[in-house]
Amino acid sequence: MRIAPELAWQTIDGEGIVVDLPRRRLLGLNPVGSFIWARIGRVSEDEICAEVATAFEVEEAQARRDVRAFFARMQDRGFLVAS
Amino acid sequence: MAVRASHALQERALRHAQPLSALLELTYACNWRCVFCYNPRHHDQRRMSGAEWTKVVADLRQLGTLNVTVTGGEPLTHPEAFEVMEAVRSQAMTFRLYTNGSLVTDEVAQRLAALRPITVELSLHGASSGTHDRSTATPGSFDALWRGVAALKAHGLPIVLKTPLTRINENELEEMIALTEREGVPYNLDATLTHRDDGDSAPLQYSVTPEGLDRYYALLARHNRVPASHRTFGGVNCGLGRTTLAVDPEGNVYPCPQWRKSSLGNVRDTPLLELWHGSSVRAEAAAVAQQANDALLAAGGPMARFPFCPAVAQERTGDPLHADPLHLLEAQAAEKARLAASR
Repeated sequence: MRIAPELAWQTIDGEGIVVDLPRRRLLGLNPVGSFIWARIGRVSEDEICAEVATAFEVEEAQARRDVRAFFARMQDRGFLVAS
Repeated sequence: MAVRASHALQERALRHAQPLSALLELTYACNWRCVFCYNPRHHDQRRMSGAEWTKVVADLRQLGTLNVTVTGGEPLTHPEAFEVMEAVRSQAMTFRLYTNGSLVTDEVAQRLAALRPITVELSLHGASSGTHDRSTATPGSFDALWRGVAALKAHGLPIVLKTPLTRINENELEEMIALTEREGVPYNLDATLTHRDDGDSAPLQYSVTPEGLDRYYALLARHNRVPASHRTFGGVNCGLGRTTLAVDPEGNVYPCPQWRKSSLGNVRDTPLLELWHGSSVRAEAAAVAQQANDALLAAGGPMARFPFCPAVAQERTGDPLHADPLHLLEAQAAEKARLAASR
């Protein structure tokens, strides 16, 4: 999974902002979403889950559900594509 | 779409000195000779290569930049201009391109469209070829501009036309607005001319006349678009030294596009990341942005409510904290127009 090349994005004080260039829209990510987003394509999904669990002090199973739900939402929007 | 972070995000970027916006001047070279241009010359001596710009772009990503402006000179005269724009997009940042349009062929427009710039911004210097070409000192430039606009439109690129208002074109103000409306292109005007980057004040002789300023601000007031600043004590005037930076064609780094009094250093000697985080020049410029805000509020009058550029004031009078006569003239014209429109 990787971030779609049509997007631009940056993190501002820990908060992710995504620019959807084809649709010319901005999307702000919440803290958990921003944390996950900044790791996509850099580390594996398993590592993201483990880091979310540690950073947000939740069970790893909960972290995995959150990460997968986030991935699904981002794929629906076309923000994530297969590597 | 103007890609601007929300006010809250801008505030956070200001607090953390995160340069959200960066201006890259690829080259001094230009095929036009605009009489009021800020460029000190129209040729390069030690221009950076595409590979050098690519390193700068990678550092911008690390610094937290989101929006890059690619400009010149005429940036499309740089043989590796596309390499730089492609590097910006591959680093997941947005860019806008400032161009005079004369080198925009169908092929160039097609390559640009694939990169999805936020805007391609071109300058309109008059409603007639006579006025436009007199401003650019380049016969045929008016027609070249419109050929470029047509090529960009054909590929669906988001175009913005803009005019530096001068005493040469101020009498065609209404005609320029009508022309851009007919073309269906967003349009911006700016009445501020600046010194050349080497300090030469020659461009200021073309500054719009006081009567032209009054007409311009009356027009803005009719559309409720007179610019205003909402200052509070302890705030900052602008992103100088905090949320903006500029890199010139030879790699010198400045704390905003206008501030040329002192450089943070050169990216050929020191990586941009180190320059931004370690430079006392950046910290001093950031302090100026705060001091100017409080000084303008303390002085009161129309400048307390009007946008102010410390870098421009620095060039004009050597004092970046107080309004120079041209800033004051604009603020007074804006205030007069706002009052007249409210009656």
